[in-house]
Amino acid sequence: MAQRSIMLTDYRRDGGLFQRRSSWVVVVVAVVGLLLVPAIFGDRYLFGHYFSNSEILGFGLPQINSALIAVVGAIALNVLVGFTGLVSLGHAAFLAVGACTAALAGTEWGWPLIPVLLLAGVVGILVGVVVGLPSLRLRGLYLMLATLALHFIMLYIFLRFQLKFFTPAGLPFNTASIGSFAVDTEKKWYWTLIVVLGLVLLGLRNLMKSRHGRSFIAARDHDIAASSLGMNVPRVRLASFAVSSFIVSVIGALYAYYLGHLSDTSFSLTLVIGYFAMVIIGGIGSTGGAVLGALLWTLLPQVLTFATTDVDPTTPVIGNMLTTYQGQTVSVVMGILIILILRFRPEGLISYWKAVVHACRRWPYSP
Amino acid sequence: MAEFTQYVVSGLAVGSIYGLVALGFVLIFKSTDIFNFAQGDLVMVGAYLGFGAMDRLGMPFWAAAITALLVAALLGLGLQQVVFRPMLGNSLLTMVMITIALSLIIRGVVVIIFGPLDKTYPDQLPGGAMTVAGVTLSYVDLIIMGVAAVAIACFTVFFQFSKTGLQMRAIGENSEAAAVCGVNANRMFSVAIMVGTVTAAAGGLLLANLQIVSPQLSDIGLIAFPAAVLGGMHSIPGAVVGGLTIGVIGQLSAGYVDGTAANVTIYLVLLLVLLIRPTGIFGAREVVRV
Amino acid sequence: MQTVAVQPVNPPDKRPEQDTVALALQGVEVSYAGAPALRGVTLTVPRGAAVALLGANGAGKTTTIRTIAGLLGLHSARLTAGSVTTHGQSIERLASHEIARLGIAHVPEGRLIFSGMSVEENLRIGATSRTTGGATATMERVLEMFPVLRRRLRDAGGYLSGGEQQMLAISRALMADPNVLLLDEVSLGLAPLITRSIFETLAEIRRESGTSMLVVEQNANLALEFCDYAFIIESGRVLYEGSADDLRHDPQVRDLYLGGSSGESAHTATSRRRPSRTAGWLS
Repeated sequence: MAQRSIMLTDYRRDGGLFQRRSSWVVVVVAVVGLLLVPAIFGDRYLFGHYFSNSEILGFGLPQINSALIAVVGAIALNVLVGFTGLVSLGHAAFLAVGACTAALAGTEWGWPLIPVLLLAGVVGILVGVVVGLPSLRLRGLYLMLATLALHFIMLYIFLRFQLKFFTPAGLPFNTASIGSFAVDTEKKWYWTLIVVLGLVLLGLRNLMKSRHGRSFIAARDHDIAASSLGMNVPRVRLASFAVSSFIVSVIGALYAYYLGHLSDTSFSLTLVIGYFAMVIIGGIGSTGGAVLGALLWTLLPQVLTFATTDVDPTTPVIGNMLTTYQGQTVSVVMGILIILILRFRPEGLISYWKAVVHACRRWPYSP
Repeated sequence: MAEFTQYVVSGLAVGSIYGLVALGFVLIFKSTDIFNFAQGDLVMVGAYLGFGAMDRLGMPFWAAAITALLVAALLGLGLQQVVFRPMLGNSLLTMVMITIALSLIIRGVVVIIFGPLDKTYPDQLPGGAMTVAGVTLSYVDLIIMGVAAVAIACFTVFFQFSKTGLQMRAIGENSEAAAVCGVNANRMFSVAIMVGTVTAAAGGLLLANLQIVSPQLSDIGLIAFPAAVLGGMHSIPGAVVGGLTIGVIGQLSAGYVDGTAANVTIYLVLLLVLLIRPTGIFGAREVVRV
Repeated sequence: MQTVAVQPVNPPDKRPEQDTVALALQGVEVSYAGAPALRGVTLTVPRGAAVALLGANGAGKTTTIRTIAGLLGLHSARLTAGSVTTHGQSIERLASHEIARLGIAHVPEGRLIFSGMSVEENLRIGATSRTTGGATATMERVLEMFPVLRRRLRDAGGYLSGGEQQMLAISRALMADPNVLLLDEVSLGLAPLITRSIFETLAEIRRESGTSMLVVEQNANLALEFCDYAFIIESGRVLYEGSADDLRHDPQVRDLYLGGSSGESAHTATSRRRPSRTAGWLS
């Protein structure tokens, strides 16, 4: 008889990657899916006809790559906000740090990709700990405001850095290359990002199953109880900032390479807010939620734009809105969507997925 | 020296607008525990409503202002009933996200209705200036300070001396005790949000005389937060004092360093206040049971 | 458990008519987020009477008061069964401010004074739900009854002592000109002398205006002296009821709630005296 539910009897089993026999099926499906994505969404010839990307759902491989970058960023933010309960608006600052390091080490000094990424990560950790220092004294709303202040201060420093080392037009970036493998097509970027995402997911899963990861959650749920158990809560908070900013810095550097060109306007408060939206819509405290939220937040506007591009401008009421002010209409729709999700499903979209999985596992006993 | 005083005076003028906006923000926060990220967007809405009334309905400024304030009040009521009321009691992060979503919606709607180009108010207020003791005070600045002062005074009278004001203070102080005394919490929340929206709109109408009317106006919300924190997030007079102080600091740093430095200085001040005395100038220390 | 001098709940010959009943709860069941707190509470407060609600910690006394006042929502609790009526009108579905306007005033556990506002402002808020005129006259009367409040009229509520705060809380409730007063643990944290003087003032209020009172108390002796009738609640159910005299002299009630005949500490109704087993085992 197939296994319906499992009992975990030791930590080793709990930390294992595959806890059920059925997990292998999921892995195979996932790998096949990942292989199909560039085939479906990339430029390709099919039956003698050239399909450009963007014709199926309104997004193609470039958008998917941007989405993957956002996914990693959202996962990192979730570590800070979701797992450790620290509301930090410093996200854009860490991305900027990664980009700066990439500009200095990659463009100015000509380092290859992997050392640049590692350096970006290390600098990210240092900056992250500094940005995390207010969290030792401040909680909740006040921490959010302090990190908001830090956001603006760091952006100012970034601007000064940009003007000092580069031009007002922005920072240029070379092509990323690992040895002789140059990451210069969308497809190559796709696979690079998938590898990075996989490493981040794996690393994070191991972290959260370890006692360090659990200490994040303990510090979030009840920091006073945690410290009464001997946990060094300030150190835990700084560790969380370090982990999160390491990931964000690395992805910021990759983002810089991907776009090829960045300036201070690329790191706005809107970007930070967007990441928060991703994490909250997806479901706070859940890595899967961060993934879902990021995918939705970056890809849904594309879908909406695509679906409304051919609307006849003479349609009453919405016709003019959709043709002249498409961008604004999309953002209004996204805003309404956020409110609806928070109103009716505050635990986030991941709760739908969990409900499905739950029902499947309990079949035929699900209500 | 004259230059210094100049900056201080223009700082007080723009600061009185900040104070008005921060007042509405703190009122909403104190009464409903909602951190309204969209406060700046409500200021922008006020400015645009005034513009719309003058431009499309051909009203004179004073009539347009009154119309704008009334519409803002209705907007506030609508927001409370439709958006906030069902969501009360959720976590800080959820409520902040809701106001952020509102901010997105408001910005989009404003551009859809009014178009993306910047607008200006027709010159309503007398130009020119008067010189007092070597300091030039423009009439516009003086009028703005005067109007803001009157608005704040009216609000204070309402808040301190009226029955509804008493009930609102009760809710802000201890909502459970207020419920025990028979205060209608939902009605008080509605009033708080309506007053917050109207003060924001008033700020927008004043600001539109100093700056161009564009979606960028909503950035003033980002200045309301430091002002509120400086004064103490639970103190309404603190919000006004905080606004004036931030206005002066901003003008001084814009004058002596450069334009971009103004923003950063304000945020440095915010950071320092948070690290040294998070409860602000007028705030009281919070005692929490573990 | 042997039965005591308990009348059945609402005996037919004593069942009062609807509009002489200031407050009536019938079969009320309440749960906090799924955890049941009240499992069937039935009690009556006739008009003009003072009724005590006694019981140990956690028995459900404050929950009962919150149910009457409509404050369950504030504490994430729900009424799952039963009815609450005042003068025949059903109030379990009403909001707290509507219930307050019907003349039910609440002196909450812990007093819940507005510590940042002055004594006078605290009193003025009390008049929020008042439907009759004469608030100024009531304030005068209240300041006469508790002269210390007049002396400290401008002081912030948070600076008052415990006893003064209790007087303020009661006065605040009286400002609403209520016909039912709900008093939750008035004696908590107060010195015996002050408590006694407060109850004497409450008796005076009863004589003057005939206000019905529901008194929740842990100090059962005091409550039974002051009240005419009492209900004893245990684990969310009303287990005993009776006139104050009867209950005061009932041996089991004395043992469980009144400190016993010789003043030793009380057991709860669910514990029994354990026989000395060790002695038997060793012998």
